Amino acid sequence: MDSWQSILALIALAAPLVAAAAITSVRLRGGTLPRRLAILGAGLSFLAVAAALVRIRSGGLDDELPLGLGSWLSIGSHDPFRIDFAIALDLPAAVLAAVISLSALCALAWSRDDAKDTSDPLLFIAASVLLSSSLAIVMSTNVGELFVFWQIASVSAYLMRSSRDDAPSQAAATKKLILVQRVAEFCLFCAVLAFAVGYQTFDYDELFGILREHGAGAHFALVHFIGLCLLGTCAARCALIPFLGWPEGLVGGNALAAVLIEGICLMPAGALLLIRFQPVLQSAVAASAFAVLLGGTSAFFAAICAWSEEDARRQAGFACASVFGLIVMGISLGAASANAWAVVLTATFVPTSAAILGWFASRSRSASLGDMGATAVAVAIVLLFSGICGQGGVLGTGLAALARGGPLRHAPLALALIFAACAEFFAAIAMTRAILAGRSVLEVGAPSASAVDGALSQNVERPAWPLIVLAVCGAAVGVSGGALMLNSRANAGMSLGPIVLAGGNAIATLIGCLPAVAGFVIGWQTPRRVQDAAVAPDSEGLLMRLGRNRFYCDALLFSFVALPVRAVAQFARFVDWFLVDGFVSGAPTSAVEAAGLMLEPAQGRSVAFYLASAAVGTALLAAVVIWLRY
Amino acid sequence: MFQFAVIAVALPLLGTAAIVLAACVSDDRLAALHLPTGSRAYRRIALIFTTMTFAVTLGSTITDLALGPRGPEPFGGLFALVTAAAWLPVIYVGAERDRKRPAMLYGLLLLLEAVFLGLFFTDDSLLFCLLLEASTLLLFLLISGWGGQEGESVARKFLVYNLAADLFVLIAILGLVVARARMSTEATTGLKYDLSYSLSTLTQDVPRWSTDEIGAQEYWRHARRWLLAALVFGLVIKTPLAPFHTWFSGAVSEGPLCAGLALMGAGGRVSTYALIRVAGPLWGDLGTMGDLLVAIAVLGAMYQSLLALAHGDLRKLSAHASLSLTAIAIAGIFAQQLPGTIGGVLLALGGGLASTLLFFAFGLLELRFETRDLSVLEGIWRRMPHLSSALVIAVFSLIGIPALVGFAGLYPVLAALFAYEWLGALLAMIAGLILAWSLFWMLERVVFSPQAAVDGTAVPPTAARSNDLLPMELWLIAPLVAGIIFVGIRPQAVAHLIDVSIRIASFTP
Repeated sequence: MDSWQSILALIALAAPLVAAAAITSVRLRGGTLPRRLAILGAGLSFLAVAAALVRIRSGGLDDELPLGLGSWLSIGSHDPFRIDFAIALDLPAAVLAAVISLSALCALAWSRDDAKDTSDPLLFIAASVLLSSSLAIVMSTNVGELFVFWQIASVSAYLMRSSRDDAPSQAAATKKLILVQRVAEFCLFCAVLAFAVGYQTFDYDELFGILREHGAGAHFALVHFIGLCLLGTCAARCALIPFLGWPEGLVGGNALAAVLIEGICLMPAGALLLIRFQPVLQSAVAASAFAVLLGGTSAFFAAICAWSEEDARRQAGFACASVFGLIVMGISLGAASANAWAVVLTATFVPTSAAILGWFASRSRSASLGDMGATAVAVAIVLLFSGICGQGGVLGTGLAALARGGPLRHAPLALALIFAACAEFFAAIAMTRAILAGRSVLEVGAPSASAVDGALSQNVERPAWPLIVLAVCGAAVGVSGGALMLNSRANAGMSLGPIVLAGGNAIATLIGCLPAVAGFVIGWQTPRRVQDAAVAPDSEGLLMRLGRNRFYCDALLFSFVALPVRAVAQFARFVDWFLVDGFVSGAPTSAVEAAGLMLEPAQGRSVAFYLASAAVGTALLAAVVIWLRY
Repeated sequence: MFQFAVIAVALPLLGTAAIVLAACVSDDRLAALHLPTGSRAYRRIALIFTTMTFAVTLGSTITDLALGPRGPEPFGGLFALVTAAAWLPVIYVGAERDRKRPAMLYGLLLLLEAVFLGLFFTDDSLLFCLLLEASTLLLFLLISGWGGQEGESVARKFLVYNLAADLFVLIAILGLVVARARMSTEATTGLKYDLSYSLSTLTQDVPRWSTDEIGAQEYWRHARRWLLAALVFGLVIKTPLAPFHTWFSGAVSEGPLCAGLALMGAGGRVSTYALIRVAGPLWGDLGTMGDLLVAIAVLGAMYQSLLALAHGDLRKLSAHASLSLTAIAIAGIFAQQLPGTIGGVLLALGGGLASTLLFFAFGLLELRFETRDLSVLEGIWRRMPHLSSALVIAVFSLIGIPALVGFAGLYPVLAALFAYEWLGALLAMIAGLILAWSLFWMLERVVFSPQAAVDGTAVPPTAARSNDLLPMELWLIAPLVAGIIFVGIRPQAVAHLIDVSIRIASFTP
């Protein structure tokens, strides 16, 4: 990179860290200085990234070499495990960094509403470190570096949450958060080690060069192992199956932490990881087929959880989590347009989900649509959940892939597409209900029947303009999708003309947006699920019960992982006490003590006896030594 | 370097002499001179001499870092520095039991420090064995004399196991001395039977023996097997790896806090040092034995992690966490690759710092709240932010978070294990995962759980900070925290020091 670009990249990374250091050094409890310093750090970071972005667009600096920051630990002359720190600010990285830093800046500025937040320096220290490590993940140039910042981001999120836990349930949610993140790090570390052993390098360019040149080739098993490890990392980070339940408790806690963790920094990193390692997924066909199915299913499960929830904050949390399933599906489809849509969706997700989650997490009750903030959030919901920013495109591309066949098998792809379409539908219903009549049951109690009736009657009079906006946006998306597909025509190797292709994809994308539109309509018409008081909760529909129980993901993890490990730990403790300590370790001690007891009668003899014994012993020892020597 | 070593060993001995002298002077005379009396006087003397010792060992390491190593001593110097840093809290928590024979307690503690430092600095193999025995006996006296209700029984177990381990090490080292004498040129020509006890000489000659004439190779192949078996067995007990670990957890949980801290900070590092310094040159190609040792170490790490998860006692939790990390370090050393060796040393050093910090923080909690039960302690974050921060740093270092020393050790060890046998690395990572689970569970309960006030509401962040770390305690943990962060951020400097010094001594595996 040229010197100005290097300085800007360094400022972007270092500004939040300097802010964190400043907050630590002033050690103020109370007051607004910690928050202001954190805002200053995020603001400087955004300005630097924005300036770098402008320079890239105007000066053609996209292909500059990365800026090396030194090696961390290198053992031996050729160490494949060496971690080099370097940053690269190409166009995609600059765009994502700008989106992340701007969203974080807004979230920090917004946290003023929550008076409790402004008094805890640790919250803002951790938030600044989280922002810096997230930017470093985006700008990283090798796998080792990514792994380091990945862990730092997890720990920062943990500290952000843990310092603000006000209830045991929140403390438990925080512990669940960090343990799931440790699982993600475990998977990522496996991938990192496999990269080093299999390819002898961590550098993205070298790795992807080898993969593009040779494909899976001789490393078929290795590539699939790495692909599955990366998928596991993404699943844990993005709350896909089977880690669906960990974000549930987060939205109920501190608003700033919820926004930064779920919307801006932590969960989107999982999607960024898959986008970054897309060549690996393309090489690992079996792993990508699994990823498509996992993405579609997770999106559906999360959307059902959102739909079955009555707490608006949790509805928003789960609905946002469902978007990650669609992103993972889009990345794993293998088509260039699906990848492009997944990237667009990720970039859209960060600011819109920040707005949605922040608004819901900081509100104890819903506001009317006349409220300016609520209107902005409604617009964000439309952007994120109508399908116009990616889901429709992903679905459309998936349908096209299904129609013409491809490397993926039909059955998993079809199943994933059905799940994804249903996910769009249910997520749209959930979010429409959340914005129209979402009331936090946890905070204001269950709504009375009259309140529900009032909300229903109020909503009947609402205009249908969002639907018109959605339809227009859908058409625009179709055209954009077609244009994106045109770019990938050469790779697809298709013989169709560009106009036909564009039209076909436009229609496919529009079809992809339809489930979300239908969901909005249903949600608009019935803003709250009317429950029959006579119907017992356990006689609800299957989907509702599954959603309420989070598809038993937590229960299964508890039953098949946590409980057995704890049982084995207790068994180990018993074995340690009874067998190891009692018999194995105890035996030598007992033997020595028994020998001591046997020798007890000899202890009452005279001094002459002991002296004579010592002399005899010495003579014997000398005889043995002489015999050995000669 | 030599002067630094002599001064570092001499200072605690002088401290012991000063305590003996102070014990001979009556309290009235001390009071007349406006000096502290009783146990406070002895503790103050011990702290002064320990601080001076720490300064000397720090100076020694800084000199090595600046000028580069000129021999194998810097390798031991790093262990000595960790010991000296750990000894500041060791002396401080001596206050827990110093109502009973305080002069003897602090005198023994200073003597033990001198013994450990001498052990890390000496190049004489017989002196090494002698100091190993001395450390065992001194720790036995501390555990039995100042331990809790079960103190005597755990002290007996401690003595039996450690004496057995010391005996195996002694036999192996004497065997090595004799083998060297028989393999030396003079012996083969029948001229002279040269006995050398210098560790450097012994270890430098080992690589040559494998290339000597056929008869000598045959002899060495047989001798090496038995010597290595004895040495490794002794050090496995001394480390201790499962199933020989019960003496360690017993001594840590039932002994006085100062003895537990001494074991965490220095006692648990001796075997790692000896494995590299003494056993390393004998490695050769371990073959199946290497696989077996790695398997024992990795399974031992997993076992210790499970025990840490099962225990609700703070002392036992920290003991098993420390043992788990030590077992992973040993596995890295047994993997016989340079990254594993250096990572193992870094992990052992880092484990010493982090375990000492964790145990010290637990000890302070125990002294303040008179309990070490996890289920009783809760929510200290808002009342004791400094102590909580120390706990958090120690836990993060133990589980291997980047920018702390634990990661600098764990990363190369796991990488070497992965290159050696991927299954071993996987099991070690699972052990680390379970260890993280147990430690985060502890953090959730003890540190971050919302602490309820009398009326049932959560204590606000602005609640009065009672019982937090005193300024003196902050100063005592400062070297530990600084070491954890410095090596975590700049491990290359220390790794280079280890690498070069072990190459000079020719005991690179």
